[in-house]
Amino acid sequence: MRNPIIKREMQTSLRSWKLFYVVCAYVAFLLLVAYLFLETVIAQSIYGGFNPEDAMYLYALLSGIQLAFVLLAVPSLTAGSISGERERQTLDILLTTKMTPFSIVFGKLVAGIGQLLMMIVATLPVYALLYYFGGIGLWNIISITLYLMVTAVFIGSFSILFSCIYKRTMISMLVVYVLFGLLIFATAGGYLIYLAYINSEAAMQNIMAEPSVLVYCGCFAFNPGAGFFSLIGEQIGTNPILSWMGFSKAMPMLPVPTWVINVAAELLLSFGILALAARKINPLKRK
Amino acid sequence: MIEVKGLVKCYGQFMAVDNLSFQIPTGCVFGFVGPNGAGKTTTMRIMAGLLRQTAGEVLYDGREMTSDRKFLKETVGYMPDFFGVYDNLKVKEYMDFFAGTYFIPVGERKALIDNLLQLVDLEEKKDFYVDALSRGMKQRLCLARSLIHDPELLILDEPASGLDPRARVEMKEILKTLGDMGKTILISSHILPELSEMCTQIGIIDKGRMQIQGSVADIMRQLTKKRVFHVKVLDETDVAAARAREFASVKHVIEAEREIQFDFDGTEQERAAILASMVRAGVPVIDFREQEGNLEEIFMTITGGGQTNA
Repeated sequence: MRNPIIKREMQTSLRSWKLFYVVCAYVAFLLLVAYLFLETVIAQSIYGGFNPEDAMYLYALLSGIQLAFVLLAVPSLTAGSISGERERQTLDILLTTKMTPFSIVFGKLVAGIGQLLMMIVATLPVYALLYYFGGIGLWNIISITLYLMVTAVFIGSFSILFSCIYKRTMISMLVVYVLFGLLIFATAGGYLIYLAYINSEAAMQNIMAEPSVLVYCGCFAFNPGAGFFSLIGEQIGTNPILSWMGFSKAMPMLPVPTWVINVAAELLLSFGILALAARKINPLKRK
Repeated sequence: MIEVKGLVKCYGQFMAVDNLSFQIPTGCVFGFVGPNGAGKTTTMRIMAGLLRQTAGEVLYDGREMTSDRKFLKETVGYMPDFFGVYDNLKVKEYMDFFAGTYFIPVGERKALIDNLLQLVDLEEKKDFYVDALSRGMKQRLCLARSLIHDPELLILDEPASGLDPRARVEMKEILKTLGDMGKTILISSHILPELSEMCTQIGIIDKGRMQIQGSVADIMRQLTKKRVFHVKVLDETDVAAARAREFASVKHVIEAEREIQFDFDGTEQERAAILASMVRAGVPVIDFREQEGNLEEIFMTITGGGQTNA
């Protein structure tokens, strides 16, 4: 492994039982959710059986929980990466080595994401339940896992930037949670208001509202929730959020699905954010 | 040869390092002494590439170090005045991690780590967790870590701080060994007598400026207003005293039992002449030595009675 930080972080985290317990608890939680879902669906069925189409919804539900887990876990795995080095008084030593500031922050990000990937991979047997009912393919699971990883990189790069800015890990975590809370819910809320506005305008003119590509992308290019529902929508055949909104036309015509825009925008911004984080810890940066 | 030329570091209006210049010959163990806030750590951090100077340059054999990041990282081994450790990491893993940060090939690491741990007397602790080591051991491990890429210049910021007397002696021995290995060492400490024993040269810094630089003996000579000599004899104390009084450079001769003491402000030739005169007169001289000055006293004189802990 070329980046020694990744090796060291993996070595120390795997040595502790904490990660093992977290993985076990998380997998058990997902199994419980799946069990309760199946029980509920079967109980509500008039034939007392299980409709295989419901497996799609279970898949969407489990994936949604995975997304929520990523949103909550990534800051805790990465927001202390640089501030932790500062607290341990090892950052200066690291900066005098041949590692560049970028390789330090990159190593921290990969190490944090690596732990998350382990947890996500550990949940794959839960998804195996869905194979029993059919409808969900391996590629669906791989693509949603990759999307979750991109989201993790996106959140992780911000967490690391804040970890470089703030001395205390708790503050970095808090700022990341607030930022992503706003990024997901405030942009969605803003877009809903926009939709309501253009629909009312269109109704007065008796025409069909046509949402702007610019506004849509401005609101959702960096919204991990939007990309997630777009991908899930493609996989299960219906976007649960768009159906729920109830507007005749909730999104503009786009050349590519929202999740593709999302992946490209988030990866690009993540790289920029990591470069900024590296600059923050570079002791020889020019002001 | 390391040359620090006109180094300046300003934090807003405050000048932490003020046109600092000094030289460290290759292979020299250079003691950097000064009171709190004198600018020692700032200077060391600039030399280690952890701070950008406002002005001035640091040359290593004529090559500017601070603007050549790659060269600086290859040349300098830095040990801060604190040591950071990672939880859940063994001594050999800690060393392996830092070997990785210098991209040392995996195949070469084991032998290198074993050698370094042997140098700092920690080879028996290599399977111990770092956080279970004593402070002195951690400090030695940190020193071994700073040597992992075989740097030519070692910058050690207060390596003996917080150590018990035994650990200090061990650290001093290791530094002597490193000096013998030809490493150029810049070391700061507030334990001034230890610096005098350990360093071939010292520099005293105050308010960001170098006040004086040279060998401990030279500095003593320059700053001690009077040089006091002690002569021990087996017999004939009065003859020894009389011979000493014959020299104009000798003042205040005090006779004691088989020993005389006098103030001296002459040259080294005159000093030899006094001894020769006593020997010619048949005085059985068994010891003829200059009283060692007190480095603490000199430090206080130069820094205007500032604090002695750097």
